[in-house]
Amino acid sequence: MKSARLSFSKALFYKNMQRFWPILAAYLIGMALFGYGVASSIPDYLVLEPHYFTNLIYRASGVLVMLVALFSILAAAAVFAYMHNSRSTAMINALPFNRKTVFFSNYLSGLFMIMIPLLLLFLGLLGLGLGYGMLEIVPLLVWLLIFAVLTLLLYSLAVTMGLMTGNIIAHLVFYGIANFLLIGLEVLVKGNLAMFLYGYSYRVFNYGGYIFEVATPIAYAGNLYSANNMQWGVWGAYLLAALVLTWLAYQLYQRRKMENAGDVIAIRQLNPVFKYGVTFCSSLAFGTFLLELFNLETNFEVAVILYLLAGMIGYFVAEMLMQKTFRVWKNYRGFVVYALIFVLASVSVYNDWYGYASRLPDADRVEAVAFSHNSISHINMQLLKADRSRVYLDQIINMPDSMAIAYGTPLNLERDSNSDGYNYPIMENLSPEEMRSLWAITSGIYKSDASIEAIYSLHSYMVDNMSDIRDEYRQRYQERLIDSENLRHYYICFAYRLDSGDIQYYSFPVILPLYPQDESDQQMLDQLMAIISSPEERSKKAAVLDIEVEDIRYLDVNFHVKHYADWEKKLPQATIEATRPMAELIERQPVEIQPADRAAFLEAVQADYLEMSDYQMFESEYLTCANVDMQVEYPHLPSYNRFRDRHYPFSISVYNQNVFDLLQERDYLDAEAVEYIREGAK
Amino acid sequence: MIEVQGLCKTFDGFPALNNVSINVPKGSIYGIVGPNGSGKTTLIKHMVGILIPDQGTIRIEDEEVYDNPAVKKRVAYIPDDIYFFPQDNLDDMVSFYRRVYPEFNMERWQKLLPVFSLDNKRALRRFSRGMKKHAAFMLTLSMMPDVLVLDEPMDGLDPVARRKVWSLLFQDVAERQTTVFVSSHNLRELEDVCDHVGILHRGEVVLERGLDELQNNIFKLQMGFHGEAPDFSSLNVLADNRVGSVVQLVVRGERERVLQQAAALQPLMLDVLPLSLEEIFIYELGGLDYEISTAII
Repeated sequence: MKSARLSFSKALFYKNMQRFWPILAAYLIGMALFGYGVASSIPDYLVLEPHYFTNLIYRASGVLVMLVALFSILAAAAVFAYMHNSRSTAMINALPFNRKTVFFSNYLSGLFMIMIPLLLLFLGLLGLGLGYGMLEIVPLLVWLLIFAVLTLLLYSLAVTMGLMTGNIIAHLVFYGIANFLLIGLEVLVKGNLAMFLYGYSYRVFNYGGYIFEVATPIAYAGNLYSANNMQWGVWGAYLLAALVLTWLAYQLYQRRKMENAGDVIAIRQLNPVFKYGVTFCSSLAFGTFLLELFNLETNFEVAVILYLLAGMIGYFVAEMLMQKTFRVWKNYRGFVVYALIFVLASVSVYNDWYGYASRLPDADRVEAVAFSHNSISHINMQLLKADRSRVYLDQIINMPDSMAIAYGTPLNLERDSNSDGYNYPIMENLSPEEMRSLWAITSGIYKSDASIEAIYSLHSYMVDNMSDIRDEYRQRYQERLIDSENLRHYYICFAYRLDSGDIQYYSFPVILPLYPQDESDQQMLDQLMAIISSPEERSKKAAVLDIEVEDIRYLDVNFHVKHYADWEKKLPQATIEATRPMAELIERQPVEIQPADRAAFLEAVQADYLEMSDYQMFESEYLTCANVDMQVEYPHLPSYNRFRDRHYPFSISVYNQNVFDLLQERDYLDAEAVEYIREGAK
Repeated sequence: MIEVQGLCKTFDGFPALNNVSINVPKGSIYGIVGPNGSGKTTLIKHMVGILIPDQGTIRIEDEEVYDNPAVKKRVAYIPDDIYFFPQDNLDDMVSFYRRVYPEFNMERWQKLLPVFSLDNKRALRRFSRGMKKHAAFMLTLSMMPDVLVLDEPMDGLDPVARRKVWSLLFQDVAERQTTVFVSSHNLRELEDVCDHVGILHRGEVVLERGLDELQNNIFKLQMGFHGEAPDFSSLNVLADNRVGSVVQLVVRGERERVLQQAAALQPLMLDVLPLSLEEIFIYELGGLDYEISTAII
């Protein structure tokens, strides 16, 4: 009992309240405004469901997260501000308290200032819910609990950061850095790897993003939308982290050398961490900025020099801050060591000594592959892991009726008072069968053994020739700036779904000549064509258009002339003047395919998919000359089904011979216009 | 009463205190002297429990000071650069100190208020440096401490205020056996008030004595001789100065014995001249270096 009593001083607590009450008052005002915002969002003309009120609070809580983050650092900085000044440090530490009492008295003072407004807000919301007769007490208690944990976590983090420094500005900066350190490092490291590690994609498809989000409580808590998808493990970890941080802060305070008040780093053991941390982050952040500024992203040697220059600035600034003097040049040795390590690491990354780009999945474990030579679409990436994350099915026009009913039927037939729409089931965690049925109808996702073998064969070929492909790409990237006419940039991506459910993603930028002379270029191009024009791909593209024509609401073809200005330069002046009205006409007005012609149009498109040569199938993705807008209504679905109306856009290329024949035959276009369009697309 | 044993402290490798040991008897006024940067303030901050020693101990009546509220409750400290909470006035500080120090004596506070004539409603940050020192003394004396630790306490005070303060301190020492530990670089001031003196030089205590002991152990003898002065090797001479047949010697030793030895030299005249504390230090520490003697004058 004695020990517990001695760990808290009312005198220090009262003094903190007397001195820092404006923080408490400002936070109360912030909370009151939040409560007012919630109250004013409740419409008084509707009969509301209890969950409406709870959802309203959860959805608005993103703002509250920012308030908690802000006032946590304000409270911590206020109650521990004395540590940053030698006079106040001396005054407080000369008082007849032990360090434990001083620490906990100040810690609890700050915590009190940010917990009381939260509790009052909770009581206010409780009253509001009762007043409107739509209170759900459990979700509201959950809300209180998670915000109490978040407050405790962010406040403890703020206190811990304060104990690492003896400078109030550094305290604020360290808190900001600590909150976003992992996400910031992820962005910096991935961004730089994407620039210099061949085969590394910034858009790496993995589950690391979730970990980084969880490691950033502000980001994680800001994305809470309801009590339903609460991850209790995460909140338990946050609570544990808050307690560990509190213990750590207490240990730091017990051992703190009060003579370090005013120093940027109050714990000398952290000096190297700070110095080299600032150096490394400066190298990447400031270095990247310089690269972007001077447009030198592709020049490795210059990039390393700029990184070192940026790192050197960071290194000496850190030294100046730590030593409080500008005369730090004599400490250059540390930077020399850093520079040597950095250059070695950069060279190893640039030349891929680790074989990152040469990895291959186990062929026997591949269940399906999403492949593209021009970046895999977002929906295909989603579909590959549809059994474990959210999918937006709206883009799939030929989905089975069972799925349209399962995910397109409202949860109930009462409209959401907020959006005036229905609430639909969340399209996540589809069953494995549902997922596989979607793979079977989606172009770009390959399931057949032959297709997977062709894709794996290309990947293996690239891995076998990786250093040549990488060097060729880097050389051609420079050339492409000069000779862009004869080179084409591909972004070859492989996303393998393994039998374990894991996804392995590989991507390689490749530049190939339009008319390859080299055998290896031709071989890669041939393999690409073989994949894109595989029977599986052709049949899927054609199958999408198996639609009852009477269900089509409209079908418009919008022609465009690609690179019109460039193309015009090649034409005689008289031709330009003669054709310009046609170009304008073609580009301005879509060709509306009449109901009587729609079936024939779709058949023509399907026939093209099946008849085009491999080369034409492949090139058709680059030589498009029209976008087709098609809206389909499925009348057998109820009116409230969200998939009753589906929109399907697709492209027409210069190689859609059957389509052009049809459009001429049915008088939508004359021969001259067709010729004009096809030439303009090349 | 206050016992510092083998205290060592370094700041980023710089040795601020090196094996400092001092003893301050109960009810004494102990002056610590040293040039700027000698480690006085560092020593004091250890004595009041602000800094953690690298090595050594600081005890008050056999109890460690650091992290010991029971001891710190009996110790009052006035730093050279005083800090008050920025928004506070004297009344606010009194109410804070009353919560912190149960022994805080309001009766004494009321008596001290008219002595220093301070406006207790005015924000302390608006006080001059001297007024802040007044306020600090009023608060400190009202805490009724057993130990007073003062870092350059008289800087910024006018002569009248200094006299008032010292008079109050003497009163506490006489009536309550308060122990006063005071740092200064002004030796003349300490000479009038201290009964023990220590000198700190580059983080080390180079001398620590009672004032009586110091003054009864070193003398200036003025002697006149007819003709050539004799050999003084029988005396422990620290310095000598000869002007014609008159010789001035600074001699260390017991007074009676020194006088007997001097008389044995058969001088025409023999006088014992008083030595100031400043002179005693200069002669005692003459062997160290010039820096000390210049700093303490």
